[in-house]
Amino acid sequence: MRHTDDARKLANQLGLLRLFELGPSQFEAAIKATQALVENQPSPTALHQEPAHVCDFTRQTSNLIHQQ
Amino acid sequence: MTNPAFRSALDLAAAIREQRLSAANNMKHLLARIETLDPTLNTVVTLNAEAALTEAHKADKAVSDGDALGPLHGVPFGLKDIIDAAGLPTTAHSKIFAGNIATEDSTVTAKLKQSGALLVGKLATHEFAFGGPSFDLPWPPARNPWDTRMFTGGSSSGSGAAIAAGFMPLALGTDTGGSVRNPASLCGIVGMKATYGRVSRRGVVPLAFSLDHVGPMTRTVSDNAALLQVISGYDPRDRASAQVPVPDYLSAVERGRTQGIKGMRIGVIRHFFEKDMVADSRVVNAINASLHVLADLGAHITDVETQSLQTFSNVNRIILLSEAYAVHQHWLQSRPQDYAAMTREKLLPGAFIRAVDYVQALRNRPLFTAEIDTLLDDADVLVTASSMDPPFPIDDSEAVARCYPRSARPPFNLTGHPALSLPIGFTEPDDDVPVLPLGLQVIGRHFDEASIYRVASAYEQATNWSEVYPPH
Repeated sequence: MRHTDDARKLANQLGLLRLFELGPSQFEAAIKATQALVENQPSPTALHQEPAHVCDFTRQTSNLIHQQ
Repeated sequence: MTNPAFRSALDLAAAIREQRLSAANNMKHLLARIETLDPTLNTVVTLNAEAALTEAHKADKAVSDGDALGPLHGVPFGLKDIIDAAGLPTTAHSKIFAGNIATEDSTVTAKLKQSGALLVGKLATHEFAFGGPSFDLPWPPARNPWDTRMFTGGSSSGSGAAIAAGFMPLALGTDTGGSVRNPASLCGIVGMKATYGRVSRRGVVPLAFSLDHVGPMTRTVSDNAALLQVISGYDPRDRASAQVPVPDYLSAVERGRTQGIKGMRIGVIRHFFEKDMVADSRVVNAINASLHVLADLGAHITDVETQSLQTFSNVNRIILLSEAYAVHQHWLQSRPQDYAAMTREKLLPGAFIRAVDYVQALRNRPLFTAEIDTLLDDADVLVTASSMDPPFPIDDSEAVARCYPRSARPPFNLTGHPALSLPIGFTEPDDDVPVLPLGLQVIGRHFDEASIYRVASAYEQATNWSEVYPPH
């Protein structure tokens, strides 16, 4: 009950109360699933490890076998 | 004699150009086939029959008038229903988009029309390319033509099933965590997620901006190459579009057929499907058999190792959920009841990912991309599993929930590398379950889809799985 009350409060803060009411258990399951997901992500440690746009490819493609 | 419904796009285009086949007669045949079979397959959301037939007559007239013809002149195609086509609804398979009529063609639609191809219809998807298969939406989920009790894979479910069923030779899907390659594997067709930036996403409903790709789905490798050729290229109206030359993909296919793959180096990411996740033995056996074929063709096969599949998939998932929630927050707040229950369930975790976790995922991304690049320093292509399991019943909710995590596709959305799902055979028939298709994933260097096509076409020619069709 306590958990559901907390989840309802969080839903209200997120503007998701109507969604919460469609499935309180779904809401709590999503919180747990997210925790598991982020806990299993590597934590970058290098100070200058920046995000990069995936399109900024630096590798040369001049050695492709189909171009030989 | 091949059933006319299963003629390849390139074969059709040649026959129409040479006036051996009328585009209108072919269109009539396919529309009749859709009318007969689609009530059990549910692949089509909006059939564009009248316009398609009118355009087919115009295509025939253009041939007889001696007009300049595009490479896919008169060839029918379908679009996953999150891709805009002017004047037609884009439903995203959702009540949220009720009444949404596209005012303009997406870039890929425009390119296909310019090539002479004819739009047959808009095809089923999982809601917003993410939920599903859902039974609480205005349209039922598509079913697998190999056995209509089975799941098609998703989210490009209608595209995969319609191609496999012989409703059209060409379709487009989209792929954010594997949604072209999953239905390609489970429906026994060829599906390509090209390099991120290769194909414009303008006019396509977003799921996760930095992971979304539009991809060709076909029955043969050469059709796939021809379709990618048409839809590729720089688009200044897509912020992620890459200004990179597009090579001649059909030449790469031809090289695979005529010169083979002798001496090419193929790295096998075996731990993805034998250790990180243990694939169904039928999948593993089919992959091993396909590696024997590739070795017999002269390729050098070596096992390679990288991060665990779960690590790649977790990072992909954090980015996907964060970006998807940003797209859907407004509707989840204001109209939650208009989503299917499964879509709500899948989108909701994005509400709880903190900014720091999203940024950490983005910081991890270039490292993982570099890891795959390093593997490709010593290999021309990589191969691994696509789906870990053969098709399973569509109403088995536990199997559906398992199937998305049990795949090796998300790593290449994360890293942007091109990846293709290739048919590699079938399960054995079992009691009342007929043969079901199995797939292999082939991955290449950034913007080197050509090497993937070369390997895939050599394999296809050696095995001919693409000439086996579903019942009907």
